[in-house]
Amino acid sequence: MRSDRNPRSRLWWVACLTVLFVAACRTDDPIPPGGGNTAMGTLRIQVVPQWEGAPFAPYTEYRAPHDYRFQVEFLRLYLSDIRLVDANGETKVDPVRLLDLNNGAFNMELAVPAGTWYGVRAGLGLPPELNHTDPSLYGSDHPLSVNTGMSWNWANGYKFVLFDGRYNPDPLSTTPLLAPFSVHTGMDTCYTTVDLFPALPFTTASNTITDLTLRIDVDGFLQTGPDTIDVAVENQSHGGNLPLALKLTRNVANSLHMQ
Amino acid sequence: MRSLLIIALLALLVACRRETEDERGMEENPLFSLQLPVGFSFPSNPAENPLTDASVRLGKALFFDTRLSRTNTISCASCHHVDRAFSDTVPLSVGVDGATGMRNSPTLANVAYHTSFFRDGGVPTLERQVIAPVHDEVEMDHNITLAAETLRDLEPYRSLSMKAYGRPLDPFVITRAIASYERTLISGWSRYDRYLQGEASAMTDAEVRGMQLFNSETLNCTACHGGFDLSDHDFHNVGQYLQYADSGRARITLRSQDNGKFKTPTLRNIALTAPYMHNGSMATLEEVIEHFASGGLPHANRDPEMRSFALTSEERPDLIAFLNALTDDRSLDQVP
Repeated sequence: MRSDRNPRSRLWWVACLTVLFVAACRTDDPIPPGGGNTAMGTLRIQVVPQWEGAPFAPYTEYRAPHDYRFQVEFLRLYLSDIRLVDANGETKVDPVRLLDLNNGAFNMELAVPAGTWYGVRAGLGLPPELNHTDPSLYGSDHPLSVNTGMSWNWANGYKFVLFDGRYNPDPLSTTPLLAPFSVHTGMDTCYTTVDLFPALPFTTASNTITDLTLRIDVDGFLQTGPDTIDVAVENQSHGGNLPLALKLTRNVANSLHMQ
Repeated sequence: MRSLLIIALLALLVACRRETEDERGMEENPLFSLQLPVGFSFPSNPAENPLTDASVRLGKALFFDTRLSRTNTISCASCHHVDRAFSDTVPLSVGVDGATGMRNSPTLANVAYHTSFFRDGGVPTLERQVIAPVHDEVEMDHNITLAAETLRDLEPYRSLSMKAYGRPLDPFVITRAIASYERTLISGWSRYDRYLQGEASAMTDAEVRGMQLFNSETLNCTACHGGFDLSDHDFHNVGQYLQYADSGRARITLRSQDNGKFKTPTLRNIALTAPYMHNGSMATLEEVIEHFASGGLPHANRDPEMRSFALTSEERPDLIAFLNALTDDRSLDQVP
């Protein structure tokens, strides 16, 4: 009975199955980041570090609280889990950015969806899921790369705020500043969230650049409200000295102003 | 015709099957034949870092390469000498430009079985550990990315890196490869091991008496120095100081109750790894035994297992004889 089947029909079935298998083995193209959404706009945030209202520059002598002579040599900080906030909640826009404040004002551009927003909400530092990653996994241009000098290689984490400088507590002295000030916040307990809301809501639109300014009052890192850092006695934190690290964290959080 | 159909389907299945990276790599880069002592389990390693011929050969080349340091003068082997069970001979190792650190370089024997690294356990993987000495200003004072760029196009790095990891030398490859090599530094071929395996003549009478003392409740050594590696790999304050200049484990945990705690070192090859303690402050085994016999200083965090004991003039050399029997009969380096 089997021999009675039509050979042409069998060949047709072979052809169909061939097409089916080839289709099954085909590798799909990856979905592009952002789900292929092309309706994104750009939020361009000009980051402006200042000292008492004037442009901040490293290796420039300033006056710290108590009239101490003080200069900053290195200043970097992480913003992470960056979100836009509107009436409906939050929209994630970027996992992490490293703000290097040593080179004056700069632009930070974020790809954002269209909308009207109250402001930006971000983590100051890194959330645990980023803080404990391996820096060698990231390319040399990534904010979490080992090249940034922000990973604590002897520990399982990153510096959140790197604030290095020198001071002399004698305001009348004229000798070079020698005493080191080096406060690096980090550890999960130093991670905090900051709301960077301008006075009025702002709107973003597809294929459009929206400008904001993030003013960073570097002088405020040493004193905002009741949290004054006396650099003559509070000048070292590298994972230890948690009270000083937390004080600097609060001061930095209070020194970021979106305009 | 039915046969034709089956053959066609099989041919298509074979053609469509995607060869995995593991399978491709296995052909060119076989797994490393790690020699293990009797009773040792195969050490675990991260999935992205299989122990292969190419990875350990690459790691060994990097381990001995001074170009990982800024001044081209310091390699991993500068502070982890092969003939000292991969430890150093000085209390504090000397890095670039004569700089010194704050802790004694530990032996790398059996680090494959550790779950945290450095004397304070601050780093969770052998891979991540590699970055610290390269960047530490008192060790190599370099940048691992710059070091990779220097070596990337040179042999054997170019070919071994591609073979082992399918990518040019970069921080990922350097950290994985050196970790792979370090995982092969297995210690478990001492006369003590042979004795435990039934070779009664492997140890002398004095060494056997020393072992019995070591295992006794009176000395209580095995409270921390037990198991196949003669270490619990945990952190203890042994009352070395009343006030520690180095906070040890507390540097990582920020907990005061961890102040002065350091990871228990293995006692394997202990005769080769002088000086001793976290800061290399004790030059001889006699000094170390003296300290532990005293029970240590009454620091608030001193481990409750620390308790004083007395040794007779005959027992003391027996104990030291036993510690000498923990030296491997062969080099830890098994990579050709």
